[in-house]
Amino acid sequence: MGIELKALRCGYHGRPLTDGIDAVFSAGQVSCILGPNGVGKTTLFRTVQGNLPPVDGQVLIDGKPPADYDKRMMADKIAYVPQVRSQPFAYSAFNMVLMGRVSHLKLFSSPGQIDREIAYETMEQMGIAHLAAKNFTQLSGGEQQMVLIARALAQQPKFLMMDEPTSNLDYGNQMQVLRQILMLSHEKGIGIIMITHSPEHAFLSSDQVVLFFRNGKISIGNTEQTLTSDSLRQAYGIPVEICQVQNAAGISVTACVPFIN
Amino acid sequence: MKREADFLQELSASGKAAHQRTKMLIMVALLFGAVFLSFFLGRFSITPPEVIALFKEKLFGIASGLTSSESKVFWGIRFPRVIAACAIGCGLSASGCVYQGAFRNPMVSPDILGATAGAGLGAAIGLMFNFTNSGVQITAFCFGLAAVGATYLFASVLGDKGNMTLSLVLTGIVMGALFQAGISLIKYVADPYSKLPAITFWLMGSLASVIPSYLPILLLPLLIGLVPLYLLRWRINLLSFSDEEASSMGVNTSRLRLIIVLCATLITSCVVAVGGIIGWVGLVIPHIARMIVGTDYKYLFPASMLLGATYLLLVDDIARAASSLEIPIGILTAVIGAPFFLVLLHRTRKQGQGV
Repeated sequence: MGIELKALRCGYHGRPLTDGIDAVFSAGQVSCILGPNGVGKTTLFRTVQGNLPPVDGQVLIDGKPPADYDKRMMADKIAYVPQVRSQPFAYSAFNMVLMGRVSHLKLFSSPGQIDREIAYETMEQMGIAHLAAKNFTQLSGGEQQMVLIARALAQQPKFLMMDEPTSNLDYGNQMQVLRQILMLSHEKGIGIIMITHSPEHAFLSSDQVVLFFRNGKISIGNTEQTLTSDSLRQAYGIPVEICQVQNAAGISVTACVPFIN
Repeated sequence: MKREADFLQELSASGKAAHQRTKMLIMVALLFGAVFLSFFLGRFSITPPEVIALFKEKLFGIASGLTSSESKVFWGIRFPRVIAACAIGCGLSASGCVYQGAFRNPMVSPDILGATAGAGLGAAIGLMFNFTNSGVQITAFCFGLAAVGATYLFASVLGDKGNMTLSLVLTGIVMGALFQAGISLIKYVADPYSKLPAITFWLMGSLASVIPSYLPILLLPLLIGLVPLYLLRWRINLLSFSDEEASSMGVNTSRLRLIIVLCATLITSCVVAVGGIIGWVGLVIPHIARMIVGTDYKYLFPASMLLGATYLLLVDDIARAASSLEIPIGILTAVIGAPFFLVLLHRTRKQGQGV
């Protein structure tokens, strides 16, 4: 059970962007997708969600291809957390989260007391209940990202697919979002697939890494083996060194340092 | 701790709902007040007790003691006009409100897809060929639907299937321009002494010619359009996200948008067919409603309907009662709407909400 990619090649108009991808994303696991701009990370996301047919190979979600699911059944499996964008209308943060309940509602009904409770509890778990009455458009980037995650969680999916959840966030907010991601995967058993541009974030959170190279090659495996100074140099075309850094308490993290020439 | 939070939340959610209900009740009361006021406004004076007597006569058969000409003026002219003004205001405002949601743009008005220009051309053709009044209405209605149908067709052929919003708006502008050119052509070839004034007055919008037999042509399509929109109103919120975002949440966005556009077009076409081109209502009133009840369509949609009905009724009262010469209502809504919209823009900019 989970999301399985079998020799999947995605792209547009029958032209694949990458080699075949074989990977399994399972519940309770964090997977990071890394690679330079324009190599097909977002295209992979669109294909897995069934918004784009695969050029070759297949996607299996709990054993069935996305085309076998209608929108509502799909929403029960996978929730998508988009990048923070401007909204045309100023909904309250609570209403934003409440909209995540739509896949559980009949066509002509609007959310009831149970939906409101779920929405509010989700916000509480994320530590953003105090934002409930505020206008989404007036929140900071980090708060908006947290609201979008809460919205996806109110959908009660098995998987979260996140498109650069830490971009546009300051250091503190980046770590707060990563903490939430770890909590969701370890405690709630939700499978997380996220696109990121920070190799450090993969080292901090990820069980599995899918690294895209410019020439369409793909490398998949556990974080330490997949993200090396060699592979990162090949992927991004710049020299990268990987080192261990320790804080005063003796906790060590992996850092990636790019060189400018 | 958790129970307490739940309790607080329940309290605030139901408290907010009660708050919104109060606002709705006030708007309903305002509408009824405006309707009652409009019954005895006008050159032919009827007093409030007489209005009540007329209703008693109609409903319960109690003799009103009024002459048959008074009764005729009331039931034959004033009553249908008041109802039509409410229906048209309600329809324009409701369709503007949902178009804004469906196109993710608060600057959109009901004529965005060419419905108004299409209906205008239909009416101009009907007037030129001496159709009956209801004939003109039906032609206007069909042309309005045809214009939007053409817009939808070209947009789906030319545009990206996944995200039709932009292609719809652009082809809507093209279709609007095309049908406007058609109107100009008809005006150019129309008889300048008899036909041209009739077409020009129709295009300026007026409720002066509304008679009881118009009401079914107006009210039936209006209801057919409004009921699904009312039932779907909460879901319209979801369309303010991008299509991929909304469909990942389990919403069939293209189907939902199609239903909304169909219903709103039906409403716009039937309303324009009866009232002519009445601008600004569908743009300004949803903004005012948004300021009062917020952006949630669950409340925004009924609030837009109620405020739109009240607003157009009052404007029509000015149109027919302010001077001895009837003022075309389309001119009034523009004169009131345009500056008012500037004030709204200024306010929302200052509050930093975006428009």
